[in-house]
Amino acid sequence: MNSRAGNAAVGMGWSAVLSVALVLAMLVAAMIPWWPTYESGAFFIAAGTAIVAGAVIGVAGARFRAPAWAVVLAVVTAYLVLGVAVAVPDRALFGLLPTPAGLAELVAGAALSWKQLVTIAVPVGSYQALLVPPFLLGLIASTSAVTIALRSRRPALAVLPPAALLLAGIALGVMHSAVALEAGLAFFVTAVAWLARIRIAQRRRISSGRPVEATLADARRVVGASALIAVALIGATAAAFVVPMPARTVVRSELQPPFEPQQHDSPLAGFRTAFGDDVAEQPMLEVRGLPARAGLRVAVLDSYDGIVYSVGGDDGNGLSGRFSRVPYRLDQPEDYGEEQRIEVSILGYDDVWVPGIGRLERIDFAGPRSEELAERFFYNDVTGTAAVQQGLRDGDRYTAVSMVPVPPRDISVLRPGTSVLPPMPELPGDLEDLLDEWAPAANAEGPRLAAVIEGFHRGYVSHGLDGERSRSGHALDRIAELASERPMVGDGEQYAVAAALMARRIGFPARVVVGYLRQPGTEYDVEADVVRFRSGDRQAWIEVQTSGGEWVAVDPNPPLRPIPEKEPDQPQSVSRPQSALPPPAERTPVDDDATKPDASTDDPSDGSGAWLDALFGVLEVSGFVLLAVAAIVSPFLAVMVAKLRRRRLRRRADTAVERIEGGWREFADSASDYGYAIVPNATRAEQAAMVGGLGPLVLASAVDRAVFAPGGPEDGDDRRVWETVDELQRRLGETRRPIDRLRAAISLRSLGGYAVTRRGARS
Amino acid sequence: MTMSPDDAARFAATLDRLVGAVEEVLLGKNRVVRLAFTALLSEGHLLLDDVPGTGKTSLARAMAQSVSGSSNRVQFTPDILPGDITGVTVYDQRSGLFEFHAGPVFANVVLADEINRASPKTQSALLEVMEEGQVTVDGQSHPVGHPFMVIATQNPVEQAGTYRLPEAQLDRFLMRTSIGYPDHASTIRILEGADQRAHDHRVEPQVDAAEVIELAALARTVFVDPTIHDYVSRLVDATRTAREVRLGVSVRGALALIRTAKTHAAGRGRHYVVPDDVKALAEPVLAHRLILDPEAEFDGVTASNMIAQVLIETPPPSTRQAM
Repeated sequence: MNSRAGNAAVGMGWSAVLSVALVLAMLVAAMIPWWPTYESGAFFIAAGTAIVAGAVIGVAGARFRAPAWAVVLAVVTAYLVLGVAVAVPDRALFGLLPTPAGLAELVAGAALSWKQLVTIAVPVGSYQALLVPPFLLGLIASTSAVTIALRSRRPALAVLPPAALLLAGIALGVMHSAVALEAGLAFFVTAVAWLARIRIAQRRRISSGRPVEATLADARRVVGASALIAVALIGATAAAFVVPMPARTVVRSELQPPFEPQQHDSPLAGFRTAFGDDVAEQPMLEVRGLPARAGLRVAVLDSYDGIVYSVGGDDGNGLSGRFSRVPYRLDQPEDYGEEQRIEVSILGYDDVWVPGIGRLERIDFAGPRSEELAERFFYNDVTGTAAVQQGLRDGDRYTAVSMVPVPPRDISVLRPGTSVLPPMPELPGDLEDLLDEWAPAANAEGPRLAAVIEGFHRGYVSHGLDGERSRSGHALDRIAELASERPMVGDGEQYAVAAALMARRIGFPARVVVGYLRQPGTEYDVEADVVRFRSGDRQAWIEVQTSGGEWVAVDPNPPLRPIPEKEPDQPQSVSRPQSALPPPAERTPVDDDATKPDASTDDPSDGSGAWLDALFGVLEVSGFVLLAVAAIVSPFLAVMVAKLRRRRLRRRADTAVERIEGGWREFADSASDYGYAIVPNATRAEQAAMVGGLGPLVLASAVDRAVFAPGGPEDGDDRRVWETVDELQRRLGETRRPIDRLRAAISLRSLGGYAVTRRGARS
Repeated sequence: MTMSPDDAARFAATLDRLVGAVEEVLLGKNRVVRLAFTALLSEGHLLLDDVPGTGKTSLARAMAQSVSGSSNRVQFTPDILPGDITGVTVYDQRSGLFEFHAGPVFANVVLADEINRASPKTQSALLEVMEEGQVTVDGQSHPVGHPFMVIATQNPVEQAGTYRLPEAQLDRFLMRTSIGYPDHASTIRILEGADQRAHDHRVEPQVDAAEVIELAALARTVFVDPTIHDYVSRLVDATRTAREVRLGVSVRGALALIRTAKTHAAGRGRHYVVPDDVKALAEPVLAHRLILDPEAEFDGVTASNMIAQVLIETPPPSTRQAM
């Protein structure tokens, strides 16, 4: 802990208060990187309590010269007494008093919560004992930092515990932090302020106590620190504009996820088993609140090796294969879509995948296994799919709140997004030919995709039951068969894969979704807004990413209708239509509105919107330009302001002799800024000789008389000295070019090296 | 009692007159002349490191004449005896009494030429007179002149057959400097006026001896700020801790620096000392009191260099000491 219990008693004056305040500021800044991991008010309470408790222990230890073991004992006690209430609040009695279960979890959390924290999706809020790491580290860092600040002979080292806290927050935190820049800058600013404060305090201890000089020396340090901070701000701001924030390598990104989807069969592989006569009518799920146009997504597949479409590639290491724990909530971009809430009851469904819609924001499990399911719930935010390790079964229920992208009005207006997916194999020749036939390469991507979907809609649906001529599977040969067969016959398995391959060939990032879609026979309770999905409602469709980044669902499946006889040139095989149902009155809900352009939404009714956009654009650019100019100019302004403040301090010093001495230094500093080689250890007369002329010599003589003659200065001497200084400063500049005067005004010579080396002369 | 500004002005005017008068004889040597008078008015003695023919005798004689005093010159040789300097008691047969015959040391300004050629015993006798201001022979004390100043010279070139002054005795000289050769313009002026300037040219007295004594007393009343004392203390401390110095400046040297700084300040018309006074006199007052490390000497370091270095490294006071 680097404390020195034997040190002299620490006074608790303003100096100590300021030290503690600056250390607390560093600790608060060091806590910022932890925020994205929690994003909960409980985090504020835990972090704040840790910092304050640590500071109190540190201050008390310094005040009463407590030995190191007593400080450690106090930290342990504070951890146990306060820990349950702030770090495991769910286990606290009345939200405040520790309980045996809470204490057990708190103690265990000190060892176990670290791994749990980095294997769970964020934000975690106050979930279980996951607040223990910041609370424990904050308590230790705060105690250490305050103790070092108040008791160590090297108080500058107090920056280390907050730095460790900061690094821990980064290491245990998120890969993409929205507050990374702010956190770094905040810690940098507070650390620089602390180090400046230490230097000022050290100088005050060894100086002979000249108030004006002390203030000036302090001002120089403050200006120096400010300049450093300004440079950092400029650099960071510029970097933020110019350099994109890459993903950080943190502990979380290096850990192997505990849920590995490649251990489970591809949901698309057993697609047709859902349509057997004995299971097709089996109720699977009840969903309340399902949007009319949305499908219930079960799994999202983005890797295709020519045989099987799967999750996360062959080795499961693709982004879509990485699942992490989700405690209760996720943050999704507000502009991703509309927030939708569904309540799902599991009936006959039995799988590890948790059906949902869009990108999950919050999930709450209910039923007898709710706690068990919550603890084993995993989510992949890349594909928006969820899973529970032990699988769902009859009786499980949950409520999910998700952001669902608004389906496009017209597929042909879509433009491809930029997501990079696992590579796909070469398309079969038949599929390429079909693509060329339906959507010639000369057209734009959007119209080509629309044409492809329209082409598939002309096909026929068959699950190959009862001897129907429709093979299962979605390997390349089956897809080639689908493309070459006339009439085209298949089901969601083949249509979705073929459409995804074609969409990717066109240029759209595309993936296959397996889930449930409302079919004409799907039971729907309008009053309760509950859809009861049967096994036969299982469907596969695709999602394509648009230029806006959203993944929009597109259903390539043709409507159910009788399959015509096979064309004559094809081998004869007799089959009967899988379904005699007429085409549905409504299109499948996923892309229902794809062909219903709605011109009322974003068609500007007049030119005012464009005019305002242009105005805001100009203002935005102007703002950035002004910001950049201000950032560039600010160090120079800081120098000029520092010099003005220095002059004012000198001119308004307490005593006449100090004002007179200050007058000379003001002149000497001006001369230094104008390039005269003012030797630090020279006398005033020698410095005057360096500038030349009679005026400086007379001024030096007058100042020497005021300083060294018995009786000190006479009335009005200070005023006359400053008048002379003003006159001499004017003369220094009057023969120079404006650029030289500006250069002198912003010169650091009198604030930097010259001033620093002059310190000795003032001691 | 502290000197008043009026006294300081009068002191400066008088000193300017004295320096101006002597400068008529010693052309182009304002600094040396001023230093010599500073030593005189500080009641100290001057050591000149000079080769022959630079005007040492002229300086001593002109100084004595300018203050209406007497001057003597003693050429030191290895066989000169202490009595040759201080004087001897001789039996007078007519009166039947022993009579004291005063030596050349009985004058206001004594030029001890090539003092390092005399034996240590003789050097010691002279240095005792310099310190005591009187000669004691056969138990009788005989005061030397008042004011009394010895200007001793050493030839820095010829060292063979000389007795180097011990450090303890060097310390008794208030200042050490050298006249040196005149610059080109002064040399021309000397050559042009050689015929007119007779060898026995007399300098008009500017003050009498009593006035010199009064001026010396006045110089002691110049105000010295505590920060100046601190500065001098730091300077001598620095000479003691410098790596190149084996023996630094003594307390006597620090006192001498303060004393001469006071006179220097008064000579500039000030009734208070400023750091510039200290700096101006540091080299002539302190340099001869340093004993350098032999290795440093071998490396070419000189005492004057050391003092200059110490002056550069020791910051002068610039502020009044906080009360």
